[in-house]
Amino acid sequence: MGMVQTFGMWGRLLDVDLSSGKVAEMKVSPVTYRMFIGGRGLAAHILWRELGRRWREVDPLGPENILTVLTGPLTGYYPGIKLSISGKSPQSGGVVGSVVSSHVAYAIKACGYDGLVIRGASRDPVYIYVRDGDVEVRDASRLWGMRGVDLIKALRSELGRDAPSIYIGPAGENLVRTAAVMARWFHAAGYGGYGAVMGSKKLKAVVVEGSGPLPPVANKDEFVKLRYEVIDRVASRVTFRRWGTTSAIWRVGHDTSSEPVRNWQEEWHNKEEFNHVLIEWRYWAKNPWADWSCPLACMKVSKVGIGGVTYLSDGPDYEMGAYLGTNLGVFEVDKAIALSAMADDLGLCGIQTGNVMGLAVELFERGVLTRENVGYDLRWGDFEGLRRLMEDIAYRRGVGRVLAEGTYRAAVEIARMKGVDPGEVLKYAVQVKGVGIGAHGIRSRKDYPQPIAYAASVQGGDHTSVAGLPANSEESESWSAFLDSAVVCSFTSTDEDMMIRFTNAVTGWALTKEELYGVVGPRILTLQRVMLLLGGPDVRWDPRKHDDNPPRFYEPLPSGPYAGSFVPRDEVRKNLEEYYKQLGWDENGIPTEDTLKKLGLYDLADAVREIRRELGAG
Amino acid sequence: MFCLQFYGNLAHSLGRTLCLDVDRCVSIYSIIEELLRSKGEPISVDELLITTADGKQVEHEATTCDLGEVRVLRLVRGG
Amino acid sequence: MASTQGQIWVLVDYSLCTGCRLCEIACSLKHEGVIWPAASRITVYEDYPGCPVPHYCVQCPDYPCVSACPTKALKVDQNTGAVLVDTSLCTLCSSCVQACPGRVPKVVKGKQYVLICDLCGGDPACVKECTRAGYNALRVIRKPQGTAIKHYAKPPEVVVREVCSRVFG
Repeated sequence: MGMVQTFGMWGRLLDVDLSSGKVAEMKVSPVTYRMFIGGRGLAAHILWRELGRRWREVDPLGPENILTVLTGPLTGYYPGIKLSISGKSPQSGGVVGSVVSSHVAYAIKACGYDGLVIRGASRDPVYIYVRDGDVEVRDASRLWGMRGVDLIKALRSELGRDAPSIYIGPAGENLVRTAAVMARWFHAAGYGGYGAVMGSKKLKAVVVEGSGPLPPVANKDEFVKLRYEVIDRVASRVTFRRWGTTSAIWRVGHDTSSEPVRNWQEEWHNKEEFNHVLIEWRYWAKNPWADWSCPLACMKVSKVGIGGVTYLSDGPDYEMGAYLGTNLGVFEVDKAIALSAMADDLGLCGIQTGNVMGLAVELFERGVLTRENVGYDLRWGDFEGLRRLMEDIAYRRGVGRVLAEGTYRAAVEIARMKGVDPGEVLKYAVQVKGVGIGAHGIRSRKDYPQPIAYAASVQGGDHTSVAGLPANSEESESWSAFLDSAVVCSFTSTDEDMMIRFTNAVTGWALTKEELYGVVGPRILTLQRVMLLLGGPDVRWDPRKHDDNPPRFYEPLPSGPYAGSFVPRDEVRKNLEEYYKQLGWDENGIPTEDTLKKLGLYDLADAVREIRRELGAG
Repeated sequence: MFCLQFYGNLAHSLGRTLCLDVDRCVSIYSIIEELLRSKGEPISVDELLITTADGKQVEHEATTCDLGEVRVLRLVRGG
Repeated sequence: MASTQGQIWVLVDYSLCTGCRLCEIACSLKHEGVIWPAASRITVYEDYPGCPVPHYCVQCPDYPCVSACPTKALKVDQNTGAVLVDTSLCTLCSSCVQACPGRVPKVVKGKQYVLICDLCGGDPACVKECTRAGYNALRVIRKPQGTAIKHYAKPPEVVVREVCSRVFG
């Protein structure tokens, strides 16, 4: 029965064309789900099918780009919730499978759909409203310009109740490449820069209310049994529940020396204020707090008052606390929380924005950027200046116009402005293939990312999708691709055996570990890899140069218990070659024709030949 | 003989495989915790995923008499 | 008023509620056999981040819904104190919804009768799930005497206002 019917999914997506206003249904066959799982994998498949012919020419911020909002077979069944957001990325030029915790994920399934595919662009601001079988493209001119908190209030008042939604803030509206797709005040799908894609379509929000049941599962008794087992296991992660990822602000920095400090010049700190026990006592108004169906509840609501203004944010979660805290030299926790709250409200990805802000402050310190360029001084830990800079980025004002392009493009532009070689500025940019690196360094070797984590990732600096050896284990990017395609929250994920059994219980498939690592994972990664290497229109990555760590990661750590550590280039090179081989790619990381055939991706053959030819690699 | 298969960066500091001489039934989780402590690794056993060779999570009550070899991976990657 | 001897009641602690909605999932799995939050007899409202408010039938001592029902489809289970719906008599007229101080009874597309918490015959699934997850925001206690409990039945937006303002100002 497995191939005839899809269990756990409806087999159809809403296809909304914002240029024409037309709404259609896109069917997804059981075979497609079996091959690509859902979520990230399905997004890559759809994007290649629709846009592959002219991938390089498609402008991520133009009407041709397609925004995918997708669930996967585990959505709604596996405890915890995530929604997959994808499209051609304004950051990497490839496809980044970003995820965000949002109730829209179960709500869209409760409407009878597995997700949405959004094309074209509206001339005027709109929001998409889905209620069970009905889809409306509604006027959002009243909502355009609103920040997160106000927008949620306005939507609630317009609808008369709290409805699941994803939305953008002013940053997305202004096509800032570091803009995120937001949900529930503090959640963001940041990697990839899809907030700007929504902005380019004049799409302010997608609101979904579903009153139906989730689709039936294949093996109900097994599903119910496994679900209880997962709940029991996850609910026992007591310290994670208590302190969330906020605890990493202290631990990753102080214990493992892998946290960005002042644009990654250091990765260690001993600032006790960031100890999570103190943060809990001083700032947390709600603990624990959870997302839909989650037995972990790792979130918090923090509340600070500065200058008569009250800021509400998450813990802050680790990435925000690191990128808008230690990375910017902000060692006062209340200021870090406030910056985090501001980023959320503006609809900015804290990672990408904190990354480019860190670059800007370092360049200012070195005299590359001047007061004349910025309009004011940029200093580490200067809350007022940093706050102003963040707003300038969200509104593309002054130097914000350049920084809004994201770390890679901003560095290249600043070099051009200053009449120097791009490398002169890029050496301070901690990014890979246009994506700023998440707050987990590789130099100390005491955190999780391996030396090739970012260099070989098909999502660049994305710390939630790192590459690693061996390629047939949870260290591999295949595992992240699977989690992002099933669409589950990695914090509630368990072991391979359980996740695969759970998937099979819901879908009726007979997926195995061997197939996951040998076929399905590599299939999704290979597809993403080809689109990444095609890139365009303004970026083209050469794997021989760009499958690498940023220059800073080759500098020895200057401080902390692992001072002197760095990653040797030859080790990176060796690991890359081994990783490529295990995935069935050649020595430059270009998929071989045999691999394309084996994975059922032979329609990529022409593109792969073109890429190889351009590298002069025959 | 009780063997631990390390993955990722843990393998970099502790080696791919580490085998220990155990003469009685010891809790697997506590033997790993002790090992990490003694090697000065800045990670606690709570952050690890201990599985059997076929990827099944090892129960907290398991001892070295139940299993001869386990895999040691990180539970949480990213945050 | 009849004695509440032996009857049970679900006590909620809003400060412990994480907003996870596992109670909604458990309820719908128990009653409908599928995950169907809209058909859950317990609904969690969350107008402000971090202040979720589970909302459900509190078995008002005067049972206004039972009196309001024109077809006598509603009755009280004397063992548990729960309101029971006779699915063959319910016409979905919504009189009970109007009579309820908190608009708790649900009319859901796909169900031929109104949905009201039946306390699962004495062993509420929502409480079990919340306890299983270790949140313990819902507990089963002996039904308290008197009308004070009707405050839990106020419309959700009123409860939200009264409970959340203390935390968030």
